[in-house]
Amino acid sequence: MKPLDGIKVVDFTQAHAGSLATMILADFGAEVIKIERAGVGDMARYWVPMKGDDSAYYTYLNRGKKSISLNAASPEGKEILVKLIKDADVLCENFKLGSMERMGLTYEEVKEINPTIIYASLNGFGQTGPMKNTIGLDLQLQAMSGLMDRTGFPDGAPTKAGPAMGDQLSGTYMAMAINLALVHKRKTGEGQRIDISILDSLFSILEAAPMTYCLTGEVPERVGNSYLGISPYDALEAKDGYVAVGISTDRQWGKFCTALGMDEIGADERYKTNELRGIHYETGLKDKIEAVTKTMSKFDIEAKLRDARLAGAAVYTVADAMASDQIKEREMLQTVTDKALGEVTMPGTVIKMSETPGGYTEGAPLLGENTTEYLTQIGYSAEEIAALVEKKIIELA
Amino acid sequence: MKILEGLTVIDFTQAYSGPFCTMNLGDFGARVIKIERAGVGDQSREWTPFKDGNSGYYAAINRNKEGMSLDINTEEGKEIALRMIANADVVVENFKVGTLDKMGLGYEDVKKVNPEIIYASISGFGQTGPLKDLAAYDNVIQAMSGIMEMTGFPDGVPTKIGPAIGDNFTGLTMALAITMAYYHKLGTGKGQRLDVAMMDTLFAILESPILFKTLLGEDLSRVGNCDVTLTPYDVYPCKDGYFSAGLAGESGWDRFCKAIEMPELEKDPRFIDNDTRCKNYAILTPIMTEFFLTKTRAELADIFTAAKIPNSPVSTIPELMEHPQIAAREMLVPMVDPGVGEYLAINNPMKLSVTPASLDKPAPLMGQDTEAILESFGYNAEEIKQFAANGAI
Repeated sequence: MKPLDGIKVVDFTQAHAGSLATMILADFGAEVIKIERAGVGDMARYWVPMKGDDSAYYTYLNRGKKSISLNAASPEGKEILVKLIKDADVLCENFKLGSMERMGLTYEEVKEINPTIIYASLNGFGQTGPMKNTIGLDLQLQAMSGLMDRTGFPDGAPTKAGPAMGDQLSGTYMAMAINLALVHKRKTGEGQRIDISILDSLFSILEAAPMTYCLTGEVPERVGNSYLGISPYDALEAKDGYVAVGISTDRQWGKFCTALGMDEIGADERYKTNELRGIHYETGLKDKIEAVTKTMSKFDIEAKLRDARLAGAAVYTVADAMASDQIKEREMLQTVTDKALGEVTMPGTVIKMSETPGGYTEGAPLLGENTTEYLTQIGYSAEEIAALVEKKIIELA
Repeated sequence: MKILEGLTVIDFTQAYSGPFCTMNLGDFGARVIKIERAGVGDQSREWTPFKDGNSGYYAAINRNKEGMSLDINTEEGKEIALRMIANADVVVENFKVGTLDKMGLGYEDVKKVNPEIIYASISGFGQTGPLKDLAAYDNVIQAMSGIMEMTGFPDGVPTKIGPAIGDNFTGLTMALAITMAYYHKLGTGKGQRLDVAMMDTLFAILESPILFKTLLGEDLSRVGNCDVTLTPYDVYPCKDGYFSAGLAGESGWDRFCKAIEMPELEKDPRFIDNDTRCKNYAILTPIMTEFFLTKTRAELADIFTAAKIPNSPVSTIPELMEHPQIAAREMLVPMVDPGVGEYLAINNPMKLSVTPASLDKPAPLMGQDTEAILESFGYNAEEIKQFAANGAI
């Protein structure tokens, strides 16, 4: 049994953020019916990595969902959507503001069709405010939100977080907001409108910086891989890569020097306290430590630190992380057979629930794979379906 | 009405990940009872920034909670905790794996007094697997998950994402897990155990590099601020800082060339389409940077917005605190904290029309609500006095 069994989602999302939200819902049992544009489909169907004409990116975000391919601009297409929405618990969309309005499917209009609908929207800047019509890609939202300002080295450029943090984070917020709204609906029967913006989402995770500005009127520069007040807290160069360490007490410093065979540095009075190490770190201490770490492999150093019960780890490549036993035992990679790609291995489900575990057992739908199934469900006959295909209103896989 | 009204959360969490999780529950009306160790308190009470000896860090992530000081290492303290849990819906903890088991407050112990409990554990590596016993710092998890490898410039060192996303993203994910488990409980009456790990959370957001490896056997590494599949799509130094601009595909190159006053680039065979531009990224970037260096961020924003090309200045924190969109979204809410005084709290980004989040009260001072909480769980004044005398509270 899954916690969202029985929940029906009419899903207009595409690309990354919105599709991630409904991916989480699907992983936990919701029936997610993806509405894709006839002949084209979700733009993520064209995103690398591709095998032939098929995108693994799409499969990752849309595993376990159903696909209906139709032309929403036609009256017949609209009618199908209205019938689907009538019977749904949740509607999700992450279009540019105004797209749902052009389809005649704003919240107010959808409420007429289904008064208890949970209507969830996600976009770069939200449904309100002076920038609500602005298009932002993940890069722009990382730039505007302050995340880039906080990431990177003080003497270098502001730096983008590698993964599309704005999409991942806002999609997760959207999934949570939908669950909150489901709780409310279960208690009261009432639906509502959800409005998630990527900018708000990224702004909410800036940690201490906004508070520091409030209390002191200034904000420290970004600090690269270090952390103010703890030294060494850094990524150090090894023979074959880097090692991240965090040595927060003087006792740990002693153990750190012993573990890496740096007795001389450990005995040096100039580095005895955390404060002194901070003062000397960039002007000599870091070089001395790296002279040692550069002679060893990153996993050797990790093992030595772990034996000494210190916080530290090699900087793993993606392949290293994928090969780690921890990731394997946590089932954070799962392999399924996808109709388009064949066998494909993707990130697993993060949330582990003992009674109602999530997860997925199949890949993504082909474009329009479930069109017939759902049209039949809402009362269309085989002849009517054939006529709609003929008129290019719908598409079958 | 608030969505989570009536949901009682016994919150043993400290530092960042757990408190960020329970903050998201408190924002929607859950009664979050934060248990801090008598005399010691949440370790984030020692974290900067400070005002008048009080931590702004703590204040920012513990709003909407009640504060209780309790020593669960004493037999009496443990009994109190169990009685509270017996009358609660959720337990959240982010101790080192096994800590609460040793204290007699593990899931199995707690289930005996409350079979329907939702018991949520946040940890570095999870409750299972060979690394489960390791403590974790955010930088260690960013390193091991592959996130650091993927962040930063190809000719530079792997780079940590500035904010501790191993903590806040994991906390949010657990808040989502708890909400789903609560939804399930409303339908079935059943509780369960929840297990969310920082390592799993960050690994899962790597997205396409994992797929490149499994599908094509290709190893990807960091690429700085660009995207290997799109050019132009980058951050450029300009007169007064940095500016991002980019195209999501083929369309817009003509407009881009006009915007940067280099119309001759449009038909240049080295830059004729997106694929060719990606191949010649190293040639094209310095040419375009010349233009950016002559303009301010404000001028660039006008130019690119007029050209209908996605763009943004790289904002600083002080700029964001004054940002019209942030203001219009009510993302900053004035709050008066008993410790740090007036400040602007970051509002909850989940905007729900009927049951919005609300920031009703600031973070508790250490042990602020101990008596009132105990009374609400049925202890009388005499008993409370005795607990205090015994050092349990």
